[in-house]
Amino acid sequence: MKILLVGNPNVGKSVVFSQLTGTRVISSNYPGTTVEYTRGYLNLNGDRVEVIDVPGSYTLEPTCKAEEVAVAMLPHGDIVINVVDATNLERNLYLTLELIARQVPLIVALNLWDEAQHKGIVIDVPKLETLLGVPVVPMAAIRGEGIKQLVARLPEARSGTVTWQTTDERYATVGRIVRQVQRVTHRHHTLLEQLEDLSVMPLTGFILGGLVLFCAFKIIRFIGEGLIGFLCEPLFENWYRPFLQKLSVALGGTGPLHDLLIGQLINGQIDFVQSLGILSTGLYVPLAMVFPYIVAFYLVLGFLEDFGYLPRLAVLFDGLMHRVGLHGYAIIPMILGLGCNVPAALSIRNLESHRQKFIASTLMAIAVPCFSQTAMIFALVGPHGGLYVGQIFLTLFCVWLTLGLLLNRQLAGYTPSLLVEIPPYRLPGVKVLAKKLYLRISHFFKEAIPFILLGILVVNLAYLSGFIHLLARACEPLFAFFFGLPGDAAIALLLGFLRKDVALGILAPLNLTPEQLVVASTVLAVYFPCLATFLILLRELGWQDMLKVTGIMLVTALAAGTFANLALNRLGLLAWIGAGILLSLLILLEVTHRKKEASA
Amino acid sequence: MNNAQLTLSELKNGTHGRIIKIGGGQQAVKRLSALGIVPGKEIVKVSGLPLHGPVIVDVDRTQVALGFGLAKKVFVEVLDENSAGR
Repeated sequence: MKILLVGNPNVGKSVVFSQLTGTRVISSNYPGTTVEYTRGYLNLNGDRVEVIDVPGSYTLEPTCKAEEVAVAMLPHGDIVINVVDATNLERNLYLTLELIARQVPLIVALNLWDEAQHKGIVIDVPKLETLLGVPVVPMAAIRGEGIKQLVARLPEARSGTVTWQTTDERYATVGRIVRQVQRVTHRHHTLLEQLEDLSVMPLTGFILGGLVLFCAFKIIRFIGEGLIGFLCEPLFENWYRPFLQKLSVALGGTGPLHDLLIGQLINGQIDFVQSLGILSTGLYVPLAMVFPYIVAFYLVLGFLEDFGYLPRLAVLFDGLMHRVGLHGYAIIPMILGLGCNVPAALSIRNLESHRQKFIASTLMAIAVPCFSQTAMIFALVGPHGGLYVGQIFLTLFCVWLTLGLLLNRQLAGYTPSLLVEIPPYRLPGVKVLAKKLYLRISHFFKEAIPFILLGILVVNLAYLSGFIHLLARACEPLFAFFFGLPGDAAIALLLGFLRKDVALGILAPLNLTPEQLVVASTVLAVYFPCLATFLILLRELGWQDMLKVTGIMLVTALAAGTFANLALNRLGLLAWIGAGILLSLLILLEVTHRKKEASA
Repeated sequence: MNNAQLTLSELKNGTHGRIIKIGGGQQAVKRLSALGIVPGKEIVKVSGLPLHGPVIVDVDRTQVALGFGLAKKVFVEVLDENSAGR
C-alpha cells in the first residue's frame, strides 16, 4: 500500500511526513527529472506502508516541473493525504477540490491548526467535512498533535462528492466553502510578523540580511572548526596515523605503490595535507576538512530554510541576480560557495532551467572563492596591507558581474520572473531538521566523496609521472609574459586543481613580491574550482557544457591575471579606470536593452 | 488618486488595491492564479525592492513576491492609500 502526501508548498508537509515515518527515509529523483521527492515507511497495524512526500504543488494543472511530477505520481497512491494550511484555506482548498474531482481516496490533514488559532481564525471542522465529503483532521504536526488521529482515520479516506468544475466555478466554490466554515477575528500584528515585513523592505531588509549572513557564517565556522578540532583531527591523528605509519613501513617508505597509496613523506612523516596519497590526503581532505563544514553548512542552511528566511533572501537579491540571467534563488549557491564550492555545486541542481544552471555554475566556479581560499589569501597577502587583499576581492566581484552580464546577453533564452510565496517565520522542528541533515549528508557521501577520491588519484598520477612538472615548464614563458610570475609559481597554480589552499601554501616560500602574490592569488581564485567541485559540476552539466565552462574559465583567468599584473606593475590606477569604463558600458548596454524590451 | 489604475510595480508601498486584470500570456495568468493572484482579489503592496527587484504583496493573509516583469503585468485599482496591512 502507498500513501501520498500532497499539498501546497510551505504547509508543513515535510513535518507531517517526518512525524508519520520512521528513521529510514530515502530521497530520490523522479525518473528523468531533477525533481527530488522523499519516501519513508509507516507502521500501520503491523503492516509496513510506504509514505511518499510528493513535491509541493498549488494546482494539478502543472505550472512547473515539480507540479508535473506531483501529477504524474498521483495515480500511484492508494490513499492521498492532502495537507492543508489552516491559516490559508482560500488558497489551499483549490487543490483539495481538484483532488476530489480526480476521485482519489482522500483525507485532509488541516495542519498549522495552532497557528490559525493564534491568528484568530476559527474553522468549523465538522461542517468542512460535510461540505467536502472527506474526513478532515485538524493538527499541529510540528508538536505531534493530531498525528495519531490522522493515522486512526486513514481507513476512512474516500473520494468526495464534488462534480467536475471549470476553474472559475472552482474558485467560486472555494469562496462559498470558506464563507461557511471560517470566521476571522481581527487582531494586531505580532512581533514576528513585523520582523517579516522588515525583512523584505529595501533598507531594513538588506541590513537584516547582512546580519543573518554574518551570524550564519560565524555559526558555521564555529561548528566546522569545533568538529575538526574535537572530532575529526583527533580521530585521524590518534587512530588512523599509527595504522598508516605501519603500512608505510611495510611498503618500504618509498616506491610507486607507496607513493600512490600514502604519498610522499614530508620530513620523514606522513603529512595528511601534502603527502597526496589516496589513503592519506585522499581520505583526510574529504573526511576531516570538507565533511565538518558540510555538516555545519547544511545544519545552518536547513534551519534558515525551515525558519522561512531563504525566500526572503532570494527576494532581496532577485534584482541583482536577474541582471546576470539568474533569479533570486541562485543567491543560495553563491553564498554556499563562499563557504565551500562542493555543497554549492550540489545545490545548483535545484535551479530551474539548464540556462540558469550553466550561468550559476560558471559564475560560482570562477568568481566565488571558497572559505579556505579566502583564509589563505588573507594569510598570504594580508600582511602586505588591506589594499592588496581588497584588490583581489574587487577584481573577483568585477569578474563575476562582467561575466554574468555577458553570459546573460550571449546565451539564448531568458530567465522567467520570480514568483514565490513568502511563508511566515516558523520555528523549525528538531526531528525535521535531523532528517533533512541526514539525507543531505548521505547525498554528499554518495555523490561527492567518490569523486574527490578519484580526483586525488588522477592528480597523484599526473604528479608522479612528472606530467605536472612538464606542463609547468611549458607554461613558464606564458606565465612570465602575462602575469609576471616566475616558473615555480606555475607548479603551484597547476596543483591548485586539487586544493586551492594547498596551492597558495606552495606559493608562500617562493619569496614573491606583494604584487606578484596578488596576481597569483587572483589567477588561482579564478582559474579552476577544486577537483571535487569540478567533477560534481561535470556530472550536473555534462561533458559539452563543462568544456565550455572550462574554456570560459581559462580565458577569464588569463584576462583577470593580466589585468591584475597591468594594474599593479604597469598602469596602476589607469587599468582600474579602464575596467570601470568597460563595466559601466556593459551596464549601460544592459539598461538600454531592457528599456527596448520593455517598450516592445 | 482614487480608483486610478496602476500596475503593481507603480503602486506605492502600503497601498490597498484590487486586482483589475492581468495582462500577459496564458502562462503568466496560470502561474499567478496558482498563488491566488486573480482579478477581483484585494491586495496590499508591502514592498518593492531596488534594481527592478520583486514586488511583495499581501494576498489572502500570505505574502507573495512577484518578479518585476510579472509585477508590471498586474493592473490594480487603488482602494486606499495607507492601509493598515493585513
